[in-house]
Amino acid sequence: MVQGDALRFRVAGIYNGVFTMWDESTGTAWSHLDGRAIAGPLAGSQLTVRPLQTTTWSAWVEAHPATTVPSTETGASYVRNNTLGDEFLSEPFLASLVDIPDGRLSASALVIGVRAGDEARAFPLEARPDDAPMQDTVGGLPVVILEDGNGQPVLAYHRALTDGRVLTFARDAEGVITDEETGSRWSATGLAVAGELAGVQLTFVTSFLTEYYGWLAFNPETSIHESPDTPR
Amino acid sequence: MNARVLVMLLATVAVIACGDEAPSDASPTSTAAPTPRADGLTGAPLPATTVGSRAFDEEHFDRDLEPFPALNEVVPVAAADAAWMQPDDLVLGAVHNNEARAYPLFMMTLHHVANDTLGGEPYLVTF
Repeated sequence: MVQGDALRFRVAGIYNGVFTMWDESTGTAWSHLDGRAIAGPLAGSQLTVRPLQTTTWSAWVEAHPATTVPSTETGASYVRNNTLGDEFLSEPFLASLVDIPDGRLSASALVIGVRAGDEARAFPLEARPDDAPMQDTVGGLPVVILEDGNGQPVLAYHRALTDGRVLTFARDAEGVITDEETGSRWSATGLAVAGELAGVQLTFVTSFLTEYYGWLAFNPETSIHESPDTPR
Repeated sequence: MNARVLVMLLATVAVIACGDEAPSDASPTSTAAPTPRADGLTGAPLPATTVGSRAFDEEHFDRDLEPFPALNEVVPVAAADAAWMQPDDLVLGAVHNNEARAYPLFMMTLHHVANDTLGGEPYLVTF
């Protein structure tokens, strides 16, 4: 939705190795990586990025029993596909479309890309420590990458409270995420579900799962979170 | 650029929801709405985030191409009735205004764009 009007989008092409799309109302070209209008009447507009987890159906249903799923009776034929992050592209081909990555990570490495303030940082899924979710400070904001019921990093949340406390997170033997300050337990969507902080909802920080090359192309100044992490 | 090439380019996983131009004020919720605390304590708010821009290459942009058909008419089905879903199926899960929906990866790799309504608001999901 832009300026009160709901837009309808279609896939159109490729930019920086990432799909572009256009809206039927204005013809503006948009990046589907991060929702920014690249060219056309609405150039410079930015869709609000909302949290969208990549997780398993079983973990999602456990966390959200009332969830729905789109009917597959759409006229299309679907093929079951549960693979992410394959090395689909040869580097020479990728190089024809996008500035290929810089050696810090492989092109198809899966990262949680986080934007906060003026900073962009990639959190490689493989950088997750054994005993804690990934934590860092991005653009001056302390953030934590919360995890789903399978222990997979999903999205970034602001690990600070309105009373000024900054939280430090750990993961217990059962995989439950807790904060060291109060021992409260946290869900993958940033809600304290038990303990002293029960009912507190952390604020979502603009973030999504992506492959490194697309993240780097759209955020050439990105830094990379390093493990073992040292929460500050 | 043929469809096969485009299929190969789907490597980047992107997840975007459509709101308005205001700075991100997303308020993720669980399916069961959290009860506001009596003391008002909550997660601290964020400052506005700015996003830069890069030059756009028209070469690979063609509105007539439409390599993948957007999913436009979502018919929601309750989890208990979605017998085709398997526990290990990857999904893109969204919650907005206490309405939760999971978009299976096997659907999004075909459509790549879903124009949907979630929690009473227009919602765009991309992969």
